[in-house]
Amino acid sequence: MKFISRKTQIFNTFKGIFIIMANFSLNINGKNHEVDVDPSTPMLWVLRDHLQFVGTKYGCGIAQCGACTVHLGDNAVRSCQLPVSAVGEQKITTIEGLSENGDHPVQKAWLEIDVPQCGYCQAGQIMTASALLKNNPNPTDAEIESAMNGNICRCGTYTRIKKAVKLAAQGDS
Amino acid sequence: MVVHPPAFGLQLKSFDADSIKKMPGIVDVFQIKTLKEGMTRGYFDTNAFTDLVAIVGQSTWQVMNAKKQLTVEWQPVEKSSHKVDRFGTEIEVEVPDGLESTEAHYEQMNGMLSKTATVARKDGQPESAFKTAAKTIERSYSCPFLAHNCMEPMNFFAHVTDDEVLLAGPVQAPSLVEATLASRLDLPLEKINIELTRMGGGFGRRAYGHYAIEAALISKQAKAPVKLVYSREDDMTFGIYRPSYMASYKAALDEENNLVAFQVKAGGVPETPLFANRFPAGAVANYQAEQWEINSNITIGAFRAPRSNFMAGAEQSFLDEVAEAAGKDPIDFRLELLEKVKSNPVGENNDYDPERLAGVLKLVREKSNWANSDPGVHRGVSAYFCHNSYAAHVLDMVMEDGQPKVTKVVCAIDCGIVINPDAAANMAEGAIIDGIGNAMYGELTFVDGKPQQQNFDSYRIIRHKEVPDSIEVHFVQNEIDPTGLGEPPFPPVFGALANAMYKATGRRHYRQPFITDKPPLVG
Ligand code: FES
Ligand code: FES
Repeated sequence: MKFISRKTQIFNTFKGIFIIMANFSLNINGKNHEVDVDPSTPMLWVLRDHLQFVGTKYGCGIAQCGACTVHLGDNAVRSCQLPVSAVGEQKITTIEGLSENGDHPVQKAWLEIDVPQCGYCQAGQIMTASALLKNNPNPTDAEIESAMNGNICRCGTYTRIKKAVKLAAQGDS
Repeated sequence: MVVHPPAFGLQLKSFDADSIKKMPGIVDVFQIKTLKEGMTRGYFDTNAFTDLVAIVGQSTWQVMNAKKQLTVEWQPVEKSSHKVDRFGTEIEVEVPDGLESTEAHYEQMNGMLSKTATVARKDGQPESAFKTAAKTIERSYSCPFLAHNCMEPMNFFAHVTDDEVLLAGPVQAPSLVEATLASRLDLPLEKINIELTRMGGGFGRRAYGHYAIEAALISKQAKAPVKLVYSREDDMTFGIYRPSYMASYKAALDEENNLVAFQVKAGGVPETPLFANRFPAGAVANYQAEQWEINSNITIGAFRAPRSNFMAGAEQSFLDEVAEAAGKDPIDFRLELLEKVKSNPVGENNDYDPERLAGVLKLVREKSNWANSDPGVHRGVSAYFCHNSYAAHVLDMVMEDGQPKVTKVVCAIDCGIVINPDAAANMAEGAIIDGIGNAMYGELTFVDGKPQQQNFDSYRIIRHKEVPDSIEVHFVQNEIDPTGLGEPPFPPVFGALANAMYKATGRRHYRQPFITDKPPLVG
């Protein structure tokens, strides 16, 4: 064997006993969820693989695209960079929990402007936009651009996203 | 997940399944061969990496971690060839060995400029017309490989049992996957069922369904339902790219600044982008189109408006320079030429309808208020025909902190009857943003066969801050049957952007991506 990392050696030593699995109790979309996973597991994969909240998407895994954006408390975070062990008591909101009937002002504005094309980035865009408006209900154009700049849309729906964020802000105020 | 060679020109030599088998959640590690040895490949079976290591596990994160620890050895490929069914005609495709680099590609392409190439069309006497011309202009243009980078990386679900195959996932051409898989598994077509999910972007990439076949082979061997997931890095480095192209142009003007001769010579790694019968063919008495190709083991595939996505930018930038040399307004110059095609066309095989191409130019001229741009705003225009439709753009640019920024794009499209105007406008807006992004930033480079960009930290995708504030889309109203719209507004963006950048920066850009191209000031 050529390359063996320290981690692998630990596993080999313990012959498949999952010593580093741990139980986490998470508050997601207002409900309690239990998972038994490696503490380093990013919330992205806890949500998608273990809890079937598949509205949160994988795009890059390195905090460059924003497809995996969720709310941690009131802030937008990249769930691919958030290990499950770092969440603790903090509340997580995913696109599934943003509103009960899909009628959050940002979601309504998205429908009104008909923003999406393929749709894959849109859950992340909406989560970033809704966190922005929560913390800053009347953002300037430059503030919208800055807040949204980490969310890539490969289909190029950016001009519509900006329009929809502004519309949602008006609806809010 | 699957593990593929880190570079084009390499293949699997050996791997040590035991190096990761005991890691948590890992169920199995084995080899799969995507295609049958010696089979005639379908046209969309393009694949440089047919010999893969599959890692099956309980969760994505566990498999991702195991993948990093896998001990695997690679070895160089040898020169090879295989048969491809090219829409009914069987052709033999040669695949060279070796580890290729972008630098070497450009050297080879530059070398082709001075060599004789295959003539695809000739009208009149271009050689003598160039000799007697009052003025000649000669330029060449190039572009790099591009990865599609669909937002959703390739993935597929498969459940293969002894008597049934159930597949589900995002793919553009399910019937092609079905056919290849039936032959790979020796099963009748009726046994294969493919359910389609929404695609997180296609852009041509998902016409190549190797990942669905891989999922099926993994499920068969693992005897379990599986979901194959590509990481972003897997997705970006697996191949099937927009090729790297180069085109050189030559134009001759007479004493009265009429365009009397035109020559285009285009090629690429590994295919030519040439369309011999497109504008300005038909408008120039002495015309010649030539092509060349350089073979490669880097795989290519359809990318939003194949070949047009380069040729439009090159041709429309060049015509801008020719119009300038002739002392004419760029729109008037094109319209004059189109008038010639309409009243007295040269040759019989011109692909486009000159009236409809002129139509979008006139509409964009009117809607953009072409002659009256605001002070400090620099404008570029471009028009192109492809996928049976016509599109023209006027692109506005300002200089902001010494950097060019696109502020507005006005676009006119003739794609016949528009059935869903809002979705159509959205598609065109996306194409324009995609065009600005790829012309400005898009680039996949190679060193020793290895893609140098593997994720979005090094592969630059256009973002919110770089997008114009306003995009206006106008459709020509007519009763013609609908034609393409996903592709046509994309290619002309490259030309409109280059032409506006010249006005804004005083530099003519010849090599994409423009952000790293630093041509000298003109004049
Ligand atoms: S997947 Fe988390 S930022 Fe891209
Ligand atoms: S809508 Fe397709 S990536 Fe944004």
